[in-house]
Amino acid sequence: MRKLLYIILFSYCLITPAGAQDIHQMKKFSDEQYTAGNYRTALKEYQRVLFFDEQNEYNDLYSRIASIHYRLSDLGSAIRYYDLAQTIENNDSIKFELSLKKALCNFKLGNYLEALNELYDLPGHSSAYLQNKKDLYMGICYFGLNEYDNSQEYFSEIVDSAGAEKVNTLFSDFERFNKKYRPGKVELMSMFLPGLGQIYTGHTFNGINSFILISGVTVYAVITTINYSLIDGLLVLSSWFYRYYSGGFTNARNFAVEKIEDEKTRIYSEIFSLIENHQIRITE
Amino acid sequence: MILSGRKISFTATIACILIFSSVSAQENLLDYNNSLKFARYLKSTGQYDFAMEEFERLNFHWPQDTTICLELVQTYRLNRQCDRLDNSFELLKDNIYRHQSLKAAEEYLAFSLTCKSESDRFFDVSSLLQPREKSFYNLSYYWVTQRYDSAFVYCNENKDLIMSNNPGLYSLTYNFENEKYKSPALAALMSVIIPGSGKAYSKRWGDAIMSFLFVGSNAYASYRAFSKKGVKSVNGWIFGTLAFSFYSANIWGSAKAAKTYNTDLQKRYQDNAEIIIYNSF
Repeated sequence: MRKLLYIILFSYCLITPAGAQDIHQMKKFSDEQYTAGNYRTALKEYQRVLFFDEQNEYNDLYSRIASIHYRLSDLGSAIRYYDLAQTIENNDSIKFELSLKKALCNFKLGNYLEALNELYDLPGHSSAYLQNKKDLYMGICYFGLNEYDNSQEYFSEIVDSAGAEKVNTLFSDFERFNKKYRPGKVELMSMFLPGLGQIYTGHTFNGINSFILISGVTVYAVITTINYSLIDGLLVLSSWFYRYYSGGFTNARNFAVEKIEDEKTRIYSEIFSLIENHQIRITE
Repeated sequence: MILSGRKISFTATIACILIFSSVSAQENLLDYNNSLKFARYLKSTGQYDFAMEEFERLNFHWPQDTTICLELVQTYRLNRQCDRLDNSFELLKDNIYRHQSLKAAEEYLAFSLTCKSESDRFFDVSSLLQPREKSFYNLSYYWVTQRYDSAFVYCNENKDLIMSNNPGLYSLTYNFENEKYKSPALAALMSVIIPGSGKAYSKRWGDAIMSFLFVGSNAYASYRAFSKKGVKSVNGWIFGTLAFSFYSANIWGSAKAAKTYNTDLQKRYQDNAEIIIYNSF
């Protein structure tokens, strides 16, 4: 009878923990979900673990949750959790990496200034890998802010001498391109000769159309002035000329801006392929 | 015999220690209290999808729990899950009618207003409330379903009650009732007499000036051309046609501008009313 009682007793003790979900089991379950790529479930369960983690055993989860938010493209929440992770982290290298991740989220959101602030707060790091990563991010931020001289400087830091030369060539070409298609200059061209700015930026049909319309109205106004009087000629011009004329040079300016943006995207991807081929210390 | 009794009591003591220690050594995170705490945390941090899942699980295990039902419906409302409105009524029905829970009734009404749902059930439920709350929800219903005439009548009939308890909503309803609309017919007529004046009447000053200049300059150019070269003047016909096209288009445009003015005005009032209503929950 006593033996039976002991068997029941120990069986109960073994079964009871299996039915309940304690914080450690929940953490294990969340880890499995994370490894399996079920990020949504992992996110919820990791939060449950943190919520009930009164002993602060799982502080490393803030960074894990941030990375899930990053993977789920919720960059605002990722920044918030990276911030929390950074606050409780003691290791300087990990803190440095968390700042880099925050900066990455910020410039992915287009907040280049905030990313730059984050990076400026970082001291120089003895690890070449981390320092290079910081320089790379600084370069990207300045490029996003159209500060090409600073950007060039940082990109040149992380590639070998051959790469640095190519980076310089790329930036010089881009500078020439920017000067060639400066929006103000293209706008002036269309003010001087309607359609010229559009043709210059490669929009030939639009340019010819603008030229024909405005010159047609002008010729008609001149004919009217000759046949009738100056007032009649001006009346012809007043209704139509300004509308097509100002529309034409505004269009030319927009085409120039668009062209520069396209070139910027092309240069950006070229810089990255260049860094891949000529990086000096970027791998860990 | 005494020894055997001692052995049994020793075994029982060990049993108790082991059972209690095994239970207290770990906390079940999925039990009622912990799940409810976590669900409330998710709701308070705006993670409504996750909060809904937690409350739904709790509701599955404890279907009779009125607190869970109420908080589940509240989470549906905050997450704007309007397809769950009927389901929410089923969840709260017992609570509303059998237990006469005013909280449950108000939660259902708030959810209905959030979803702008039109249903007679709304007034059945609101009739259970105190006059003060009832007047607010009924007037809100007329606003969100855009039954403005009913809102004006109801507001006048319950003037004192609404004015003392919801002065913001009362003054908005009163002002909207006494608002001056623009007449599309009058706007069109004004533009027939003076081109562009109909648009000025609808407070579209830029459009009004441009319309006046376009019609005026083309008409004047046409007049000058005809005066100089008679009816055979090509310029006269070209400008005359242009002037006429602008003139007639402007008449139609003026009527449309008046209608747009009225729609914008109504939308402004509607938006303000919804801000007052949704901030009251």
